[in-house]
Amino acid sequence: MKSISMKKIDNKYRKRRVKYKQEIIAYKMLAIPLILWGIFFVFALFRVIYLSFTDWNIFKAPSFVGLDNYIRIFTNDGALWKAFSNTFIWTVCTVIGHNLIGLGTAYMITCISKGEKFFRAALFWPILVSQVVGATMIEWIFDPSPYGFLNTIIGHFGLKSVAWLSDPDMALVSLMLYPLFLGFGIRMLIYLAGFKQIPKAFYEAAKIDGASNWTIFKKITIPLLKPIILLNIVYTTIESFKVIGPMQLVTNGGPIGSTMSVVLRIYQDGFVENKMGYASSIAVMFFIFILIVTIIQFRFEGETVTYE
Amino acid sequence: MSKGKNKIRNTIFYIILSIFAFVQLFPFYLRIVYSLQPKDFLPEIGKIYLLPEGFHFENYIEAWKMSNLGVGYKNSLIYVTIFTIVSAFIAILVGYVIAKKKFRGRKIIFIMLLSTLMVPAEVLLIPNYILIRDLNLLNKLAALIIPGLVNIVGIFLAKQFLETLPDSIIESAYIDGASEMKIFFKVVLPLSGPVIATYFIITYTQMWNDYLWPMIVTNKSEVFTVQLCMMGFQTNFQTGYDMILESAALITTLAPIVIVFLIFQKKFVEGISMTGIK
Repeated sequence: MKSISMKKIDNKYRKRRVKYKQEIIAYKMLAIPLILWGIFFVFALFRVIYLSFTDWNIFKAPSFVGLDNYIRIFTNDGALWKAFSNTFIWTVCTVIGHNLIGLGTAYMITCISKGEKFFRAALFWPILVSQVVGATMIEWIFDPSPYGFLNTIIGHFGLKSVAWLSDPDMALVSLMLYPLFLGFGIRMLIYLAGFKQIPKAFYEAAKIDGASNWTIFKKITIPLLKPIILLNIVYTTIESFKVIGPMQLVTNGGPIGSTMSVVLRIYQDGFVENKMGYASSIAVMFFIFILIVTIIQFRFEGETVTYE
Repeated sequence: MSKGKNKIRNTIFYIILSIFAFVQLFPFYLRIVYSLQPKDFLPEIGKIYLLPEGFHFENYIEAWKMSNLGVGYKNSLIYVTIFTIVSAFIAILVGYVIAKKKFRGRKIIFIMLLSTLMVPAEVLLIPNYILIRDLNLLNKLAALIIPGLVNIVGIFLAKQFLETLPDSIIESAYIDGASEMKIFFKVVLPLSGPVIATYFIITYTQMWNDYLWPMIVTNKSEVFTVQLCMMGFQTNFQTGYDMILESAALITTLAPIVIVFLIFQKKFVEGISMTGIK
């Protein structure tokens, strides 16, 4: 009797020890990744928040200035709001453009009988064009001189050159058009995968009921695709808010701030003008902004998905 | 979707798709033509050159020399390869521990890791730059590699994948007396092949094309990546020899990655669909 209960206790103890040992092993395996993550994500995030309350350039030590930076952002920095509105315009256009073109081309590719793979590759490959190469292309396509690509084509028909990138009213559009036609490949692929997930039986049933292609697309495909559409919209939104490449590499924000973006402001204030404190407060504002947009979008998505 | 039944509609679709493909290809084609033009080539205003006046491949050699692309290629290859391998390793390791090990705080750790996805890397540029500078790592390989090593998307992918792995495989390895290390290296890693391939191909192109972080932490031409070399090449002169050399450099930068894509196309497509839909 006694020995059995001893054994029981012993067993329990051993089990706990094994469990304990397992936990140690798990933490040992996680240690280095978690430390790296802690330094470059968590610590960095707290540091940028701290820096946003300081005045700091390379030449002197950071001095705490309280809310000064934020007050300046809200009251005395019209250029920053221009950057925010540019980024916002860029995001709205990209989200609509990429998703419409992506959805449209994906639908067309699923419909055609031959050349599916060819078109998938032909429309997707520009995703591989780096920001730097893309910027070189934009510079040339929208070059204001008569030697630029578009001006050459316009000139071919005997028309006058357009100022494109050097015109403050046209510059943002000029920067946007090329990425709009180049960057939709990922959206297209995800929509393609989405189309494949829809069971064929739905279409067949609708066909038997005599529904037209357009009705099928509107009443079956789109509702079933809704979660993927929303997911794509969320991704495109977050990605486009972070835009800096074309603005930095082609126009560097100009002419007269007409193509400034928020991230480019962070870069310029921090690394060009060495105002690390102020740049940090822009970064924090930007972070809060993105957070709010993401939360709104995910809430919106959650609602519609449960509604489905 | 009715496949290939509606002829008129499909013809229209073919035409539209072809226009899109053309719009994307044509400018690059013209750049290839440009890159082969003779040294003293001056375009006429309003004239589109569909074929070069002779094939001057020596432009490529000249562009290669001028922009230091050789050094750039070497640096990019080293840096991106090391980065991708180490970060893939970390992703599988963390994904495995979270998916298969029972320990306190597992859920919290995972949620905390995931929540940092909400923080754009752009927000952390300044603190991470300062840290790298204070550690005296500017212009060093480590500066390019270390900050992004813990790739949250990669960890998420690995976790999702390894959760589908039957516990019995790992348990039987335990019973056979394999050590933790052995199980990870001989069982988990080899079985994660598909997810590693996906991760590898996407991360590799992403890092290869990245310019912002390398630009911030390097300022010496001997540590420049391909993209930085290409950046130094950008000219404001859209005519003449500069433009020819720029075109050649551009094609040289772009071609390898397009070739890699054409070879691994299937993996690319799988990878994007996988990370996109989850």
